Amino acid sequence: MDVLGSLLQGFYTALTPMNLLWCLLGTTLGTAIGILPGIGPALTIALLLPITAKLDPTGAFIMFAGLYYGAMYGGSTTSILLNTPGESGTIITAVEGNVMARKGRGAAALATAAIGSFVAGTIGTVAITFLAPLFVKLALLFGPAEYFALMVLAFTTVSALLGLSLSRGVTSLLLGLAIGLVGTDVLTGQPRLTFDILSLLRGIDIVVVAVGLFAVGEALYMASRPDMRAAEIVPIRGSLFMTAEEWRRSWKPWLRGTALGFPFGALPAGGTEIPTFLSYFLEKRMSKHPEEFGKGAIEGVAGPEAANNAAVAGVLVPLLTLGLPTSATAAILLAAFEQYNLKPGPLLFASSSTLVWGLIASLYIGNVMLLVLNLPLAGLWVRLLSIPQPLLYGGILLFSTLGVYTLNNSTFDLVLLFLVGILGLLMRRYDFPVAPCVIGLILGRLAEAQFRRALTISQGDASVFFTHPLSLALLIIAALVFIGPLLYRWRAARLQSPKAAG
Amino acid sequence: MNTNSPISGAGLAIGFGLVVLGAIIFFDATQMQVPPTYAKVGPQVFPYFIAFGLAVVGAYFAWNSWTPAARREIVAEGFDTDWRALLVIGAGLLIHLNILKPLGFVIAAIFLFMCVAFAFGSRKFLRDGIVAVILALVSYLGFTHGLGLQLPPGILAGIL
Amino acid sequence: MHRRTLFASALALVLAAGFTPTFTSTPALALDELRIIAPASPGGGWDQTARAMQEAVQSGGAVKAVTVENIPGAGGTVGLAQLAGQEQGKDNVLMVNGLVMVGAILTNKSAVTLENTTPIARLTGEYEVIVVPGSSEIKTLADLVAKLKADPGSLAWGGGSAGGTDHILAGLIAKASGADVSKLNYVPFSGGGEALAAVMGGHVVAGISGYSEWEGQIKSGELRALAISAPERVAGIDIPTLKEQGVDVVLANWRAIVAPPGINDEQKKALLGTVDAAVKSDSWKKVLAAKNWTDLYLPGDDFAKLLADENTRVTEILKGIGLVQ
Repeated sequence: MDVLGSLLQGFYTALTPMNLLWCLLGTTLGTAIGILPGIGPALTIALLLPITAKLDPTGAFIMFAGLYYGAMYGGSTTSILLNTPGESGTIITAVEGNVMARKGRGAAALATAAIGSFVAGTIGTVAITFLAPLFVKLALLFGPAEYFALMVLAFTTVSALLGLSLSRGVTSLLLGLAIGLVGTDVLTGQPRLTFDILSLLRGIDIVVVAVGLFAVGEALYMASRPDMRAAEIVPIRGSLFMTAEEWRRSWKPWLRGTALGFPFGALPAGGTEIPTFLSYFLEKRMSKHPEEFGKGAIEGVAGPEAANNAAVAGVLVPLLTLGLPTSATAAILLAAFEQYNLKPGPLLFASSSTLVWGLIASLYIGNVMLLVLNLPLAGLWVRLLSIPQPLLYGGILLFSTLGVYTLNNSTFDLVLLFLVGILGLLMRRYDFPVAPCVIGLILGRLAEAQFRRALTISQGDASVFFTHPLSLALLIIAALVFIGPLLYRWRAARLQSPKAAG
Repeated sequence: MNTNSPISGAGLAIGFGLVVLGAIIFFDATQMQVPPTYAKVGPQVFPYFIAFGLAVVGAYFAWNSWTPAARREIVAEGFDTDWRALLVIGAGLLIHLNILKPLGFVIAAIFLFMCVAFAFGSRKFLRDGIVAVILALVSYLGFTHGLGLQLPPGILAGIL
Repeated sequence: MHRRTLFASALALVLAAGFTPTFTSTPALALDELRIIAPASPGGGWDQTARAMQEAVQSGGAVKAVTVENIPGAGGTVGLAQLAGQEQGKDNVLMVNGLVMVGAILTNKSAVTLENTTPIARLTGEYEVIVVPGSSEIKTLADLVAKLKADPGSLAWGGGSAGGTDHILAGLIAKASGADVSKLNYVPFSGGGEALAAVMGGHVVAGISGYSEWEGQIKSGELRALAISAPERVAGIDIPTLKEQGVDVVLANWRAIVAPPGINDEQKKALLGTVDAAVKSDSWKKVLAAKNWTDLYLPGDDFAKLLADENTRVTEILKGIGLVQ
């Protein structure tokens, strides 16, 4: 099939006034729910399904796609300005982004996030258009052994987030791993650390931990520090948007983030979180100013933000070509296809080419819309910082509890939120970094499940990790990433010491 | 904080807490029954590792509480703590989750908002109240009517 | 605040008083409101069943307001605990459940079981397929059974959560074909997508899932369906049953609806009447057709007996696998 011809046909479908309106509605709603912690695109689309059943499928999918992309844009806004990640894919953004906001560079952080998301979303859509079959092959190469090797690689990146004290970073990581244990064991159905509490069987949601550590922990900490409460935050210092210097430091991270994010999205167990960790790590390593990381380095916002949007684009590849959902949102989109009696998979492109190409074309349009929507708004959003603290934190806690409650309609999750919030307060008070805890929670569960799956399939033979070429390659990279800097430091120390002695 | 004390109380408490947490995880893992097919690396193996790790870092913190250099690193307590503000927010959160279902989302959310605003030093009750009512009503109506999400209506069931 | 509360309760009272008399004329369906608990998150099978039931009941007009409440977690046992606890004795609450919950109660060692509910009716169901990758050297169910008998450990099955329908079916097949059930090498995946990818990529030998989930891949030839767990061939699906290939196993992943414990026979009859009317409505028939659900309507005592039978069968197989002590 002639791809360009089909794409043109797709634009013809997507550019009708009605479909443009659906796209605008989707992107706006997506941005709004992205801002709210706990309420993500999966839940929103699930709730909208009965309403959209009466729409024509093309319009409905154009709206859903806009919603999906929009949520990632919205999630970064609250991460940067309020240190409250709206989506789990934007947790890392908070690390550098919020420091930038406190220094009066919030608008620049928002701008680099929006433009990075646009670049990544557009390149990702181009990749869907032309390279989908290639990434599908890659996705199927990954079995449990390969995933475990990938998780090991992702774990090494935690070292970039440990902060100043190794022991405290490791403690935070271990706490995250421990929280990840709670719930039903995936492989055997055994309850772990549930203390016979029924509601704990489903495990502790990442959203509860992220919102608890960041939003509630931060609110409690700020309340406990009268000296910090008094400090005035200046919303904008220097130029409103990005300076030439900031542009120069952003564009490479955008591209690298895209390259990391897209393949991850296409993997059946990839997700949007892990590529953001990898991107942050990569940027810190490649930066000429590694000392600025943790103090508001713009690369640490640009890279991960591109990565999470590229991952969102990547998710659509296996969904459209194989009918394979690789995220919660993709699973809901699959249900939406079924509602219209459409079966995603190789046959979809042939049987419903108007819908598929209209959808792909609307992704290009949606990205442009989101950029237009978000760039001018960045100047407005930063005004959030000039809202008086009592109202600001009142609002943050109101929306945090709302989002967490709607996860399971359960006040038990609010109890957990409260407890994690206290943990967040203590960690801030005694200088423990919170990001490794969230990473430990996300990676720990996945790594353990894949490790044990691989060993179950091989009937206990641990050599699978080294005999599968892809797994071996990933493990070697992980080892190099981990040992490399140690060797480098050791050599540097050896070169330094004679001088120091002499 | 008494910086002349030879022992860092917070450091000791942190270390002790981590060791206890490790012990709880270890004990929980020993209680698991493992099906034979999955026995090679069962559900208890990772917990053992994590428990061991927590015990090690816990011991490290506790041990370090006696050395002056590490003590300075562990407890950075050179600031005043507003315990009253913490207490108000904490109580606000706890009461909020208990009244959410019986009294409804709108009232619980307004209450929480007012508590937080008060803790952050605001005494402009009228302004805070108006903002709280608007935020709570808009989010309640937006979610229940816009998205069909169930938020507890509570005693305002017939009105909203 | 206090005055507002008073005002609100007063208003609620007035409203309630104004509405109730209208409905006393039809005593059998005297429901102002009906709450259907979906013990899962929005979007899943149980949630969709609850929402389809909501629409069907509402279309009849017998009940004024029907709402769906999602209480997800632990294979539905969190919702079950609420039904048996705080909803006990209420005649205006229903809960969707299914075969998965039977297994989850056992693996979670749930204190509340399905005996703590009032069974109303089985509604729909879906049959399971056993597949291998299109390129696999296993061509028929006989090949698969031979491999299973020779060395059960070498046959890695991929499917859904531990103790769920897919896992139970793998156990039943192993048992029926005379293989060692305790050596069953079943690999649970979280979410259908991951299991599908593992089967298509050849990382596991065989896969089990509900038919509709993998229908597209079966039709396109990427997956080869060896058998379906239906009692006889299903119209429109060209897959032989397990039974006709000599493995005497029939398993439907059924979904049903139950009421809280502690209601009297009259209340039970009223609820059954409401569900019965809904199932016969056009709205329900339309949903069945649109979603490709098999109609397995089985009301009242027959359903109660089925529940007991399934419980015995599932308990036995999960004990054999070693998931339940």
